[in-house]
Amino acid sequence: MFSMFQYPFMIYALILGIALAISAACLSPFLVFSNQAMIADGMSHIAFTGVILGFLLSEQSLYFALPFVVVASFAITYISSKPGINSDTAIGVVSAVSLAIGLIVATVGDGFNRSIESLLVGSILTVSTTEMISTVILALLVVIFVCVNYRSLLSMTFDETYARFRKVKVTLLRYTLTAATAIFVVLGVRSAGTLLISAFVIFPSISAVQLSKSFKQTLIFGIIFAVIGMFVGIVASYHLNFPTGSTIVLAYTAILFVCYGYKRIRGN
Amino acid sequence: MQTSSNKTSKTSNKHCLIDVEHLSVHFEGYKALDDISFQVDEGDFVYVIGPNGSGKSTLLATLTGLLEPTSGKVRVDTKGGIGYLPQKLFNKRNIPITVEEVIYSGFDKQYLHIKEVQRKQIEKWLHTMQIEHTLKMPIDKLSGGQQQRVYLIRALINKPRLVLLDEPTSALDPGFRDHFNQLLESLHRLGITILYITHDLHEYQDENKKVLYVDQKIHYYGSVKEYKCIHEGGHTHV
Repeated sequence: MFSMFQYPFMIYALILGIALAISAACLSPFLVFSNQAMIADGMSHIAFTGVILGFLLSEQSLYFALPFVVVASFAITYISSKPGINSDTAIGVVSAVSLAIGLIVATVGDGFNRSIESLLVGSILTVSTTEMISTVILALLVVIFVCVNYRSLLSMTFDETYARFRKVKVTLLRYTLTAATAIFVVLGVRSAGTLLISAFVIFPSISAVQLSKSFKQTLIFGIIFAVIGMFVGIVASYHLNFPTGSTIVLAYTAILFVCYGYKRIRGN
Repeated sequence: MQTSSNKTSKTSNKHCLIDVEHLSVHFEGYKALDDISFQVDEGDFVYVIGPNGSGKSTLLATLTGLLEPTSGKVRVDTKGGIGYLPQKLFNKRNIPITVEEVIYSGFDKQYLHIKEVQRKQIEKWLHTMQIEHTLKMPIDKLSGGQQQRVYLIRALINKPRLVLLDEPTSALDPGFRDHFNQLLESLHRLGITILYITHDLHEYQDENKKVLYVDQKIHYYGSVKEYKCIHEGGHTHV
């Protein structure tokens, strides 16, 4: 069953996948419970444009896509902070405009010969060593960020007004969280695709909350479920010859159903 | 908001904890507070009263630094900490946060794992508030009154020198309200300064306490006893 790991590209895919899963699961509860679950979805549309522009302007599309998406994510956070505009609206506006620009550039861009399909559905099996190392570094930085700022992030997520009263640097934390999500999305889009990357952020907390009794448990269960889902998804996609990103999302979905079913049985 | 230390009240030799000078707070043309000035000394117990929309909560939010004054100065001595219970309690549903986690967010020193000594402190407060069984319960599974007690503990857990309470008994049942008022009395006797927004002065003891009547401007600031004498005839409900 695990003979697939004799191939270096499969080991790379697994390492990258688990690093992505851990990054997303660490960010997940602070986004999902702040009603910002769809921010990763919005950023994936922006990342689509960022990567396309990156392909046109540079050999290393990441160098352009990363700052492009981070700046756009700051725009979303800034617009969301204005009275009368909620985060869903801000995400909708910025991501739609960005996606529109990306599609126009992809259509009229001279010499653009990349496959849009590969950007939409991703290809975790063709990632480079650079991408793998970048993703592992991101995962480490996200874990350190969450551990160091856990109490402040929790306070901000639960009660932002009280967090401000307690002198928690809410604005700085919010922008850092957004930037980390933006970097995660850019690194993840190549492997999971723009259509599916947001699932990595949403599913861990939604599954974990079915079983957890505290916020900390939600975070820890979310990381465990994300790693299991990623592993099962990659292995299953290899054996079933299914697209990897889609299979991972189905594995996440199966975990959600199991958790929900267990909760119902336990509740009854 | 500015902070000051070692400032003495203009009217007494006590240490001045709150010094408000010509404070105005406006919202899009609406004057919530209009040129008010007052001082609160260390050890004072001040009831802040006034009709709905009179600017009481705005005043407390300004004292905590959550709102910026439109004009004027607010100096609060933050040494020794401030405990704050907002009027609008935050009840985010479907967030899996326990009572213990909520109260812990009130501590000055917070760690990734809750220290045993801090947990004991939380348990002691839960016992005082008669909700000791709720420690590991999700906050959204508690009744409104129980949640209010949890937020009260969060405001008091850090043993602050100054406590700002915005209608702290609004969701409490009458039986526990008396218990809570006795608790505040004991805190006051320990020297804690308390600013307490309320609508009804009937149920409270008035010895050594003050009333700040706010309705955009300050209409009265003095002892409760004198205030009740002025309003003889039972008009202490505002």
